[in-house]
Amino acid sequence: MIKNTIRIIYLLMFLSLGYSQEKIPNLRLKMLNGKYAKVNDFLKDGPMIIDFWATWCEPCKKQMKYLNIFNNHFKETGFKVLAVNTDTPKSMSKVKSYVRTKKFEFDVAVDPNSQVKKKMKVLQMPTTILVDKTGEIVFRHQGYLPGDEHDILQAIYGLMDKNNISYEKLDLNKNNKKQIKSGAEVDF
Amino acid sequence: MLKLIFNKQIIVSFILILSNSDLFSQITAGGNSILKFGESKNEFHYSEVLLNMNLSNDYLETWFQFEYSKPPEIGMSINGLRKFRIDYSDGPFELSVGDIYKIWGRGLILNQFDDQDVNLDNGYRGLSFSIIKDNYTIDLISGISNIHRISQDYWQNIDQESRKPNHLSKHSMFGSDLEFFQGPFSLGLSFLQSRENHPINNPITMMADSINVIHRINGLRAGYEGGRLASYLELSGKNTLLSQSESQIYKENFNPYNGFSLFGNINYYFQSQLLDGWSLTMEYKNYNTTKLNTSDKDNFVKNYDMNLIFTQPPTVLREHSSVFLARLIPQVNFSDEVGYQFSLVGPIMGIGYFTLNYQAASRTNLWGKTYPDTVNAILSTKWESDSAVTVLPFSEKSGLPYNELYLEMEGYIKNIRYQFGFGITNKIPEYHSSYNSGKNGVWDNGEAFDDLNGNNIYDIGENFTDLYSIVNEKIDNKTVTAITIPSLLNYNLGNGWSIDLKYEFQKIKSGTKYYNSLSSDEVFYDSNGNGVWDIAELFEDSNGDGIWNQAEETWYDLWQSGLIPDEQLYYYDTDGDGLFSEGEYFTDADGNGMWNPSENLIDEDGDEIWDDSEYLEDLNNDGVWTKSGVYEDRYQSNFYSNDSKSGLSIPEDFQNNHLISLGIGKSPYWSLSLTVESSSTYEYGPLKNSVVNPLESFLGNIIDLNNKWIALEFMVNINSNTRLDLMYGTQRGGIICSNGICRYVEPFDDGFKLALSTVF
Repeated sequence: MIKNTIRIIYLLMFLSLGYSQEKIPNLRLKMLNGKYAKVNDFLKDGPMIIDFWATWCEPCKKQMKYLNIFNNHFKETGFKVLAVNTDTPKSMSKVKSYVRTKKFEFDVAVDPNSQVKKKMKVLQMPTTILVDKTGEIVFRHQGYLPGDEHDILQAIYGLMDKNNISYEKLDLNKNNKKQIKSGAEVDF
Repeated sequence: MLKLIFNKQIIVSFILILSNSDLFSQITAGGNSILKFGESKNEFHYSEVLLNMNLSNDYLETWFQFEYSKPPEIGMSINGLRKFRIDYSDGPFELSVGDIYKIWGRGLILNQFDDQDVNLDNGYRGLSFSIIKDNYTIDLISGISNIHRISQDYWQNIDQESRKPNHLSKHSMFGSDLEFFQGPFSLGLSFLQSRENHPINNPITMMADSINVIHRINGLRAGYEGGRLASYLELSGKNTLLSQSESQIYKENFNPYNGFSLFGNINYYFQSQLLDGWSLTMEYKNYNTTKLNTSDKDNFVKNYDMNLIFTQPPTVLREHSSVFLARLIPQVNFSDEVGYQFSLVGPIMGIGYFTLNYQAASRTNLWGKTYPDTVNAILSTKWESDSAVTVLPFSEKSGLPYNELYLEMEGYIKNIRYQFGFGITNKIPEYHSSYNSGKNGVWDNGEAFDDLNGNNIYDIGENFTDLYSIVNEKIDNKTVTAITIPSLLNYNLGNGWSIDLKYEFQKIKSGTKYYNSLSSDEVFYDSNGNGVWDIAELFEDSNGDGIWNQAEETWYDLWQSGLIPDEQLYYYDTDGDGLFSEGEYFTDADGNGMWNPSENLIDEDGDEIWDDSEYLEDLNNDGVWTKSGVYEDRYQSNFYSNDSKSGLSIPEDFQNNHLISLGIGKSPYWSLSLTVESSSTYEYGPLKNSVVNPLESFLGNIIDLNNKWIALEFMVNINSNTRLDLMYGTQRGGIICSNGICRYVEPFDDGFKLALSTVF
């Protein structure tokens, strides 16, 4: 039994060595409004960040305000943020009100029984995956510590530079101040 | 057939064939692994490795999960392939084979997941076929779901640590789900049938047995997604049948109930200038698929009609990130619960976001015990409830009410993120009732008699039928009331450095209320005719105090039996001669101020207690004759403190809990946190006292360690794909809940935990 299992693992590892490309699977996603979309639908215009979060996850919430800033700042380049919520259907209605109240403008999908999370190999919450237009994963980050947003921003710059996409640099501190004036976020 | 399909060699061959086919020309492969290890001085050990492997291309996705554990943190030990699935998709068509997890609507009919925190895996192994188009979806499923659970109500293979499941129900299920979309509207229809083989205790032989049950559920749901308003409503009807071939005893023992479940929610987003950004969410649940009295409320073994574990509807409860508030969330009964929740959230004058959340729930019926008059109550009482459907939760105790009000403010001030909460919780988690009755020994009006002299009047000496007329009523209920204040401060120092301070306070009152009454005086046989109940057992009154004295114990006796520790001896042995001397401490059982040796007792009933002797029908079982009336209406707290001098437990009404967590982190590399939890009292129940570890010994130089749990946690991101978590110290045990399902977790004493997660 154990020998057979080890054989299977070796086999799969061999296959993974032979064919491995860090590409995001073109999974079907259920969006917050109940309709369906595929991952590649979001890659038509440019690169994207896929972020896994939940309403009970405090670090996720801390990070989400920066993802919203990234989404809004780089949207002219075709860049998008897709936040995949992993709350169970037991708390689905709170997800909608949370997203609306915070005025997040990025797309939100739901993964209530963690099947998308498993297929995207997500182990920690939050997990942030930066994907280029071809679907290749160029950056993956697990968890969130204050300051991680700068690393994510650098990864976005790196991807934009590599793909010759012109963009305007983002000053996170300045952006925060701008948000106070608009009243959308409280950070002064 | 299924066994053939799921044979591992065939799976391997399948992968090999496909890997050489055109389908796999653009294959993506990867996976992740989690290694978990824990060891503690209270024998809470675990070691497990979970390995997930994924292979995919544009059409096919495969997932294999291997587990190697001995033992796992919770659940059955597995060494080998645990789960697998192959998904094929082409355009709107999807076909899956293997271990499948599905959700229809909000889970009133089907909601499957693998939640390792509470050890619940309710997925199925089988087939699934779906068509997903823009304006409709069709989903067909068929397979077998083997669900392992832990239950003390199933008397076989009970695990004392509550880590290993002992109840396995097997569901052979099939079903279909249709969903239509039109503009902002959606409509869904579902049907599911499960043929269950259900392990049960045979009520006659008390041995393990099993029965075959059929569950059928039909459901309807509708949703609306508008700009200002979103709403959702789902209704399902359940029918449970016991197979005709099953023994009559099971049909008599429990009659399955056929009922309904209802869930609805409304989200309203304010758009006026004054309330811009505010939202109101209201949720309602009425889960009415079985009727369970308060003693049987969680007994899914006997009440087989509630064992639809693949239906996991919304909890209609807030999931708290606060440690103390999360401990107060009740276990949701998805078969028998009514409740609502409303939540108002919005920004306040540029200083942050405010949340007001109120939630209430109870059972769907009020229960009471009834019995026919004039018969023996102890043999004939039974639970009865009002069968009417209630709309709002009850506040009466037999409805097991629960409510929580929670207020929160969170936001940023410069580089500081703050979060302050305030919660008030009330709940009645348990309610018990019992009756006992007796005869009064005299003829009462209405009692039949042998009218020997034919005068139609009862005369002394005539035989009569003495009916049961004295009633003893006992009711007790647990009650919990708490105020909780969680807070969190996070300061961003810049250059990736940050510090976290988390503080939680909770004042909690928890105990049991007892009510005990007797309708008439207890009856006794007045052997000496003096009109009072006399003591009977003979004793040799050696000290002449007229009372039988048990042997009183000196401090020397207590020290010998380990009740007085060595380090406290100086306090008791005041002259230091190592022996009990006059004036030194003893247990003055009779309060006469003198140390009495044990007096000889002729213990007639062998209970080692000196008893009154005249025959007594002791209805309330307190060992003495009792007059009628309410003689016990008291409250017993669940908390106590230890008196350091006497070693005796002193009841305490309230418990104050504190949790402080101080952390520092350097993005994106590492973080370190020290968590100290303390409690002002001990608690009756399965919680064990903590073992002092070296970390606590060190900190003991700074703080008092009495009743504290201290742990140090370190996280390091080895690289962007690998993370290591280490914990050293002590963690308090207790109830943990995840999505309405709760389990008891053993305390983790003086040990370390390691978790290594890798994505490849």
